[in-house]
Amino acid sequence: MPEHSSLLPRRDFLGRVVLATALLATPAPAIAASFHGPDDWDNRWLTGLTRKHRTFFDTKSWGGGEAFGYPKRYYDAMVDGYGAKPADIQVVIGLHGTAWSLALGDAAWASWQLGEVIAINDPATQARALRNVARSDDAGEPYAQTSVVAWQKRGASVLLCNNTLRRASRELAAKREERTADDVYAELRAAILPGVTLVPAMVAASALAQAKGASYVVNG
Amino acid sequence: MPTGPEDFDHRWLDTLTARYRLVYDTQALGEGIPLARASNYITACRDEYGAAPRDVQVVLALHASPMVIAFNDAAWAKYAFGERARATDPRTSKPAVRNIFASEEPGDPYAAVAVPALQRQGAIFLFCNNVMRNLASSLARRRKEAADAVRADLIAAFLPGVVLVPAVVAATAMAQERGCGYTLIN
Repeated sequence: MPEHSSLLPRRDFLGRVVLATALLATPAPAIAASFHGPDDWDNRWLTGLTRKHRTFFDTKSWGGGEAFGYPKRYYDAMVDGYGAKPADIQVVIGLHGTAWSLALGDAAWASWQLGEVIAINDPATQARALRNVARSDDAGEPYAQTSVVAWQKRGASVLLCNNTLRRASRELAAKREERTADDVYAELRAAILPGVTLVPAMVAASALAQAKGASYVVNG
Repeated sequence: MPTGPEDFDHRWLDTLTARYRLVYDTQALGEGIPLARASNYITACRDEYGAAPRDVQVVLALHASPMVIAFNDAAWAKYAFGERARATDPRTSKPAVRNIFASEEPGDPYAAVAVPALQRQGAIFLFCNNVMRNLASSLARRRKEAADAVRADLIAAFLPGVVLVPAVVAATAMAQERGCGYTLIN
């Protein structure tokens, strides 16, 4: 089975998820409007891709923190090794594969036990994360300097693949009888972190970024 | 230790002018896969697409396991790179104590695609400074030596023409800014 053939954990965990969450299930949110065409997407990340040094990170996994840590080595080397000004550096981090949950807020992580899904521990508890440990840049946070918020403050764009989110929604819904793929999708979409952009497909987004002059790096 | 842009040799970037130029992000060594892929690219451009030799340029950005390609025989023997890379010398059937990826001697496994052979065809080999820092630290701990001394020893053991860059992730991006295509080898 290919490594990324499933976006969810193995059955032993899923059994516990079903049991643990059945009582916690909240009423399904209304199904969000479907996307039908180019006008439905926010393409400002692409039109704003104009800085001198712009690089797209094709990010398919957490990789022990490399999802957001590898771009930091790029950023630091551009400043320290190539003398680039921070204002001239533009990073785009495209999340898909098993990295999709990094784009969601803490409530979704707790509800769906997403720390188990991609095997991330919370350093504060030494157990599987029940919150997105890569979200905040608050002092003391384990990934403060490489968090989603820290990257956004550097002018980076964080993208989430809609195909991946659809697939994850189907797989999660299949494990809870009371849920459908569409209402899980609506819930997850509402849980996307502020400033994170949902794109139609990462394969297209990465190509469009390169068409706009961005360099391309595979990350994980 | 490098402290700024002036501590690195960036001239390789200015040489990226060939019509067909490609940077390989080399993260896997395999059976000399980076060398074979580079040779395939050069050969295909030249023989199948009709490019003149001077119009083809390939950059191999070495990090992860392929890093051992960058060092001379003495370093391979001293630091047991053959064991680290699980590279067997066909002469001895034991872990190599010489850089078999740089040997052009007839009968050696990578003679046709060895580092010097590719360099004569315009290939540029880069070595990641982040990898150098980690490698020097780990070897220094094992050998109970100073990391700075090991680092200096390793850099002195580079094959001719190998370039130390601040970070491969940035170097591959900079190469693309100079018009290179990008391919991952993993």
